[in-house]
Amino acid sequence: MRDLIKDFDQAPNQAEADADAVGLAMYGQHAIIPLVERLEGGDVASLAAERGLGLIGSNDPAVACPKFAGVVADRARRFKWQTHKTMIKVIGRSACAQTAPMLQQYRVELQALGSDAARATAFARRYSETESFDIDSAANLGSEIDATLAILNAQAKP
Amino acid sequence: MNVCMNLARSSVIVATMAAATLAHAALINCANLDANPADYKVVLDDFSYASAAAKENADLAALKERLQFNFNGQLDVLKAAAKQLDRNLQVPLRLVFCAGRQPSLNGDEFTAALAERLSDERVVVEMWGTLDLKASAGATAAPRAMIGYTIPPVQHYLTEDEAPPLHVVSYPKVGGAQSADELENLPELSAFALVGLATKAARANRYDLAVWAFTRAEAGIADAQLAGNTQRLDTLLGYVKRAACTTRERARADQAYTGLLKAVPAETCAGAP
Repeated sequence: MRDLIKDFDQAPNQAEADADAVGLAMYGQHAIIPLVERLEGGDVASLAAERGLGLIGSNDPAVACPKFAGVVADRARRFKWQTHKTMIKVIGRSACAQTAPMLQQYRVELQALGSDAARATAFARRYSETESFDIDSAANLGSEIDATLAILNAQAKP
Repeated sequence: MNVCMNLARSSVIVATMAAATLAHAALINCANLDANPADYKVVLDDFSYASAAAKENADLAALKERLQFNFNGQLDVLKAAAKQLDRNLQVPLRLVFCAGRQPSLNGDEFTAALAERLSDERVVVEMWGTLDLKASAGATAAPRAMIGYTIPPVQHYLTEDEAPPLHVVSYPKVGGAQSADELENLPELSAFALVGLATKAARANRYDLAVWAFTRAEAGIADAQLAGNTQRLDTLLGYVKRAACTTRERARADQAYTGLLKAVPAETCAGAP
């Protein structure tokens, strides 16, 4: 696993990074933390990490979903808003139905921001860095939540 | 639509790609995108060389250095121009170098997913390219370049038909006295950066910044059109004009906004972007 992480970090292109992420995903829940960390490590790395996390979630949702939800519900300012957004996408792909109420609450809080920049700044205090969060970010997060809730709702229907 | 876009790109660059023996695609990770998170970013990738001779050429090596220096100068000029217009108007633009990152010349790596990621990181334009030497009869070989630009916010928020996000430009575009200067300054960079900046700023309700950037981008794109190859630039310019208008209208309608755009007379915006 250590070698795979090293290869992942030194991947020369997206295809190699993806392959390493798939390899890491085979370690299941043990790979979640390293992959979540790599969501914040640059553009190519984060796309590959997202793929790896999606595989873990598809393969073992019972274990993975609570960990994914833990990232989105985090209030200890450990993650960037972009990481929340990616995890919300992964939650949808992993069919984490039990996270729907949390996501609905997140959506309500985002809607309450309206177009008020000061409220957005206060809201951003839940993230590891606040400066890049603005009204545009809130709209992007809201769209991701809507897409994920649509997937979860579709799965809930018989 | 994507097929058409790829064909259009390919027709422009196929000859250069065939000769580009040293230039090979390597979209390595750009790990320093999240430094200075509040700033909008102009990402500059590593230029590649089209041949071994080009790689060994001292003039091209010097050109590469000067390009990086000049880009910083261009951003400073933009910031100063904004301040001149309105002393409170900050233009938080920053150059980010991604060492070793060399996308393919036609920009195939810039998928929708990557564009979204870059847009979320406030990247307003990414630029890459290949430097080469062109020999002509009876004269020393002259520098030339194929430069690719992509505008992630435009790719993420709009369709290709509304505003093409990717542009590959050959320099020098025209003969004559301006060519060397053009190759050292790549004037399109500022225009494309401003389009990306304006698109992001408009979505964040930063109306003054957005309208300033759209307006300034309009002039830059019009300049770039003088060199021909205008169809994609025409479409981009159409988007910029429409978006400037709709942003002014949104500013007028936003009760939380109290800036100068409130005084702009109402207008009818044709075909909102």
